[in-house]
Amino acid sequence: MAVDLLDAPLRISWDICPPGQSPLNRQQLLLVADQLSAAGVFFVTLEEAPLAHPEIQGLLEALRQGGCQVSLLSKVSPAELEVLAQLGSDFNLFVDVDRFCSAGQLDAPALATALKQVQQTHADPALLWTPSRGQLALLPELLKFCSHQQVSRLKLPNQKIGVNPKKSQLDNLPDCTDLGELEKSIAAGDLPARNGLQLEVHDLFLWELLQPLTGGQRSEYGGCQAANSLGHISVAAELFPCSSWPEPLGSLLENELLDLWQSASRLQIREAIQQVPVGCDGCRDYQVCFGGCRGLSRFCRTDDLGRDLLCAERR
Amino acid sequence: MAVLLRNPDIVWRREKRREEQVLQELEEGGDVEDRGTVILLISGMMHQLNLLGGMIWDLCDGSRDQEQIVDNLLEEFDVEREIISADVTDFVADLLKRGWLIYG
Repeated sequence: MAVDLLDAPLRISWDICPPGQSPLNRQQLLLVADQLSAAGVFFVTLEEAPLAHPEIQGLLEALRQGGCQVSLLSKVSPAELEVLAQLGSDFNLFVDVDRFCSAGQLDAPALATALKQVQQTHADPALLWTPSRGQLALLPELLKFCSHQQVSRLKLPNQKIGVNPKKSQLDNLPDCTDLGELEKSIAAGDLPARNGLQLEVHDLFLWELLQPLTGGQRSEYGGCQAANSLGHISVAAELFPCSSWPEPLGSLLENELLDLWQSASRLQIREAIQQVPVGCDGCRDYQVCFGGCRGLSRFCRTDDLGRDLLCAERR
Repeated sequence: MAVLLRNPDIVWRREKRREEQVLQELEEGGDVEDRGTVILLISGMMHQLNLLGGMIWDLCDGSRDQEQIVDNLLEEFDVEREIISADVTDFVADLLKRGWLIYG
């Protein structure tokens, strides 16, 4: 049975404390947390320096009491480690691998040290990596790192472009050329054994390449989930269709989430996603990928093909 | 007979607004068999149950056996007991096989 339009998102990412921007106060945080709980959101991922917010403990408690499963992203700074030590471990902790990648290199020793530091306060930290342009070829090395360090979970989310994407940021997104390089590397035998790793890959084309490691099927994928099972909240509590679709639906400080999810703006986005992109017309695999990530293709492609950024050509 | 219980590892949600729409469509004589009213997330995959499946799922809270679930549904639907009973038997057998329901 195909999945219908949902009453509310199932998964929300939420920017808590991005550098240089004013975070919500305690009252506002709890108001948004109440909204997520009341709407029945299953999973909430706190991003953009959540551990830097002075009210993080209260927010975590509110979300957990409201029935949300919480994940939290950390760059493992000394200040974050101090906060982590106070928080317990009733949440999923993701270490942001991006901090350990620069100039086309993965700083594996520094990442291993960070993992050990985090493991002193949190039993089973996972890794999260959103590779930039030119970095995707580092993935086999990261997978080997996970195998050696017995990391149990690695998440590769879709690219996040935030609420006000800058051109430099968009220029830094990986494309099908990066995927081609990774494919060559995998063909050369660079993919390590799975070794118990739970690999979560959001982009369908990357998932397809890594299928020997991911296992399973995506039979219930059903296409881009922006403004359906996915949603994103900015630091200012604006609700977005997802973190890759920079068109706000309204403020959660002034509107009910359930109402915003029934709004004309949301329904228009879902209608747009139902349209077959020009670049996918006649593609034999459209019923598998449904055009992939529509937010990135809509806002980041320089042509009007509308295909997923990692899709090389019509098949 | 043993009581039926939802697998506690499965996260799920009733889609209340959609359920209201589906009930209205049903009253108007519409075909709602493929309209989902309960969302389940299992191993990262999203699944949905239709109105009857969702009601059975909701009733599998560890306090009722299969016959008691049929009794509850007969209060909601004006159909023969045999018909509802057969639907419940099929649905429960399928979900037990998938591991989504367990005996409590």
